[in-house]
This record gives sequence, structure tokens and C-alpha cells, in this order.
Amino acid sequence: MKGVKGQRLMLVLLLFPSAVFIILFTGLPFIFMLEKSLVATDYISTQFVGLKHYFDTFTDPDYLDVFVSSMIYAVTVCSVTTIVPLLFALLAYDCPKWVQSYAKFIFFVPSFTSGVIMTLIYRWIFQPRIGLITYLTGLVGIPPVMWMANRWTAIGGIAGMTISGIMGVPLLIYMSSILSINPELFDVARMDGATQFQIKTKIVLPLLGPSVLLVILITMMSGFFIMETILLMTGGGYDTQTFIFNIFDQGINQSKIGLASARSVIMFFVILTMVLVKRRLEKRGKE
Amino acid sequence: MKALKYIAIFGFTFILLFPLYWMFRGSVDEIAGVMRVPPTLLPMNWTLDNYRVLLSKNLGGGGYGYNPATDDIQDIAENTQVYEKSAILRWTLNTGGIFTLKAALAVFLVATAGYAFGVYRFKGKNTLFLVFIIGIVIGPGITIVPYFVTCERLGLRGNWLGVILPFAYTPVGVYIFRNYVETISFEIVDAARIDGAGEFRILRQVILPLCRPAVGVLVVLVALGTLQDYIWSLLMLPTTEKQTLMVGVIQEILRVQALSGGLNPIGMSLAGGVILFIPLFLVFIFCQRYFIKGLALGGVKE
Repeated sequence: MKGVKGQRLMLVLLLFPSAVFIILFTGLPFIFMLEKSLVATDYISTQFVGLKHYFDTFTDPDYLDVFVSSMIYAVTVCSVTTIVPLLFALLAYDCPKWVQSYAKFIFFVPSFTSGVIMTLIYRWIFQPRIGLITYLTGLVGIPPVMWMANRWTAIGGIAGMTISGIMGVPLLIYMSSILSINPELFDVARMDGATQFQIKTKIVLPLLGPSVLLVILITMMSGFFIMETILLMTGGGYDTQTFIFNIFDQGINQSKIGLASARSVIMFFVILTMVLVKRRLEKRGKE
Repeated sequence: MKALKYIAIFGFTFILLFPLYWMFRGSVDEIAGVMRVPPTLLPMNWTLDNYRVLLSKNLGGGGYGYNPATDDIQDIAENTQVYEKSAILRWTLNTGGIFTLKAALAVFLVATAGYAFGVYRFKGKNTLFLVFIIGIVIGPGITIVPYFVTCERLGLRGNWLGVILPFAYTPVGVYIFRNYVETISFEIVDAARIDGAGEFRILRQVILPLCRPAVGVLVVLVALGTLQDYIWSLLMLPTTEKQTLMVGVIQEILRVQALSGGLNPIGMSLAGGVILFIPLFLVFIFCQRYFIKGLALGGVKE
């Protein structure tokens, strides 16, 4: 047991600076969020409106569009970024060390390149007249459209940009959990005459269950959280908003603090539920 | 079979790196080459004009040397103030300053809290630790609007404190640091105590040097956060003189776009992209070890 006399004071001193920051920048916003979600503010007067913002959110037909778009983003981003890095991790783990490092490096390049920089490039690539996409689709006979002024192509393009930007972390998670598998397992399987392919599908893949679960959680959240890309590609127009972009748009662009706060509270519970479901599934997997 | 594997891995390089090549290719080409249909793989007429346009941007006043309507670059050599009030230089220095202060504060907060949770044992420790890392879930993504309201009320908008203070405390950092401290043998701490060293001295002279990898991870995360952040910095720093490199360059591109009636100034955007890419690339290359480790520590065990 650590701690001689006088240590309690020391403990308080050590934790105090961080505690101040947590109260100011996690606690306060959280309380504001709950408080503002129940009132209507127009900067002059504040009025208690109860759960009106919550009801408004669920009856707003525009919010249905946000819901549909968010789901499309989440499902596309999640499925591709869960599966593609998994395939590459399975391909690369028994390659020489430098190939593994190389794969990690390549997958990370778009991740550290901020999404904002990517939008600068893709605003050119998606140009309806001179862009590369228009040229490439023209080669196969698809007529050019205003890629970023059409709901489905815009969502597809933004989802694609997001996907390329977040594949590094899943690859890393898979690679490190493959590394933590006991190598004796492979030796035993090989002695029993299992082929490399069988080892990968019958031994490695099932052991990656928890990692896959984690990646699904992270990438689904990434889908809901797309913000800067949407801001710079479509400005949120053409029904391309995600939940989080919608909160930003309502609260800051349109100064509907109350409505935005109510939607933040809803999102908070959605994320919390996702985390808890993941925990539950993990536990079930262990039993 | 083996060949196929390598083709897949190296073929993917092309998909992931092509946009970056395309950015570079467009940034060093004249407008005619950028607009050309069909596009060419190499620049048609090499030029550095796109960079010159951005680098010649002055703070205050138009003083710009670039006419977006005609897409002409006027003789910027005439403009004697060019290097005195260079906006890019100012934004770079701003970013550096913000990063330095934020990193120092972050290391201080994370080290003190992480040390307390790693070394001490006390009642309610696990519950308190949960409170300290709850920020991982209630991130600024969800709470951006209340965050904004809070910072405005605290009077942080419009000055650097608005970008430094809100994210100086990093819950993931505390988590990483705590885990790292726990791997250290506490006998070292005991020995130092017997020698009569104070707690803060133990932290600074014994723990911090041993936890250098964890500190490195934290500093790299702060650096990337500072360099990549756009929306929050934009909200907190509305004036041109105070902006970070990312916000300054993007706002300049959007301003020129608005001036030219909504036409995307492609060459300038791409040059801006390259300029913004360079510091991130340097951080990544020199700190790759920390970067990947940080993501592993922060992500895998969350």
C-alpha cells in the first residue's frame, strides 16, 4: 500500500490542475448541453420549453434525411474500413517485416493527412467539367453530373474520402492483435498439416473477434462524426449531413442552441448505447 | 499466390497515394494544364506561381498581387512589404506558439494526473479515474455546440486561449500515461522518497524521464491535433492575424473563391494543400514510432 502521512494533500495537489480542466471543459459543457436542451434562447430572453426540442427533432421531416444520410455514411464507412484492412492484415502478417511496415505506412499516409487537405484535392477531382472523376466516368460512358450537387453522388464521394482517411487505425489494431496470438498455435496447426490458408481462416480470423468489434464501433462513430469534409465539399447542402454536422449546423450556423443541444443529448445516448452494446457482446464472446 | 499477395499490397499503394500525387502535380502546373481535358499524368508547364500567390499574401489590406478575376499574377516584386507582413509566416508562428503552449500544458496535466493514478492507492480510485477519462466518450464532436457556448462565456473566443485551454487536458493521454507509470517498479519511487525527494521532484526527475515514450506519444498527438484542426480553430479565432496555418490557408482559398464568383481557385488550393501537408508529413516521418504507438495505446485498449 502506497502512501505515508501527508500524502493525501499531495494527491489533491496532483489531481487539482486536471480536475479544474475537467470541470471547465467537460463538466460545464455537459451541464450547458442538458440545460440548453430544455430552453429556447434568442440571446435576449430565455424561456423554458421542456422537451419541445426533443419532440421537434423526432417529428422534423428534415431530420429524417439527416438520419438516412448518417446511416448510409456509417454503414458504408464501417463495412469497408472493417473488411479491407482485415484482408490486408491477413495478407501481410506472415510477410517479411519490411512489407508489414510498408503496409502500415501506406495505410497511415491518408490518416495523418488531414481530411481538410483531402477536400482541397477532391474539390478538383470532383469538378463536374474538368475533374478526374468526370474524365474516368466519361471513358466508360457515364454522363457527367454535378458530383457534389447531387445527394447520392455527394454522399458516395464524401464516404469514399472518409474511408481512405481512416483505414490506418483498423489495420494497426488487427496487426497488433495478430502479433499477440501465441505462435505455438501456428506450429501445432502446421504440424497437423494445415495449409497457410486454413491457418488464416480457421485460427487467426476467429481470434480477431474482439478487434473486429472494436473496429466496427470506431468506424461507425467515424461515419456519424464526418464534419469538416461535408463543410468544405457541400456545405451541408443537398441532404448530405451527418448527425454531428447537423448539430454544428443548427447550433452554430443557425444559432438554434436549444435544438442543437437536444440533438447532442440524443447523440450522447446513442454513442453510450453503442459502447455498452460492444461491452456486452465482448463479454458474451468471452464466455 | 505469393505474387498475388504482393501485387495486392503494392497495388493498394497506388489507390492511397494517388490523390497526394495528384495534388502535387496540379500545384506545380499552370492553370491551362490543370484545366486540361483529358488530364495528363505529368504537369504540362511547370511553374511555382501557385505557391508564389499564397506566399505573397499579406496580412491586412489586399496587398495581394493576384487578380482572381483575370487569373493574373501581377508583379509582386514591386510589393516591398511582402516579406515583412507575410501571412503564411505569421500563421506558421501562431501554430508553433499554440502547439508549444498546448503541449507544455498537456504534459503537465497528464503527468500529474497520470502519476497520481499510477502510483497512489486511495479509496474510490477507480471511480475517480473513470471521471478523469470520461472525456474519451463525451468528446468535443458531440458537444461542439455547448463547448462553443462555454468558451464564449468564459471569454476565450478571439484569443489563443480558446484553442489552447479546451483541449489541453487529454483524457487519452492520462490513460496512456497511467498505464505506463504502472509498469515502472515502485521501488524506485520508494528509494527516492527515502532519499528525501519531494513528490514533484520525483515526478520530474524520476518518473518523467522513465516515461519518455508516453510523453512522446502525447506530444505527437497534440501536434497532430493542432496542425489538423480546422473547425474549432476557425470558431475560436475569427481574426486573420491570430489564425493557425490550417485555418488561414483555407479561409484565404475560400475568400478568393468568393471573390471570383464561386469558382474554385484550383491551383491555389492545391498549393495550399501541399503547404499544409509538409508540417504534417514531417511530424509523421520523424515521430512515426510515437504516432503509431499512440494510436495503438489509445485505440486498442479503450
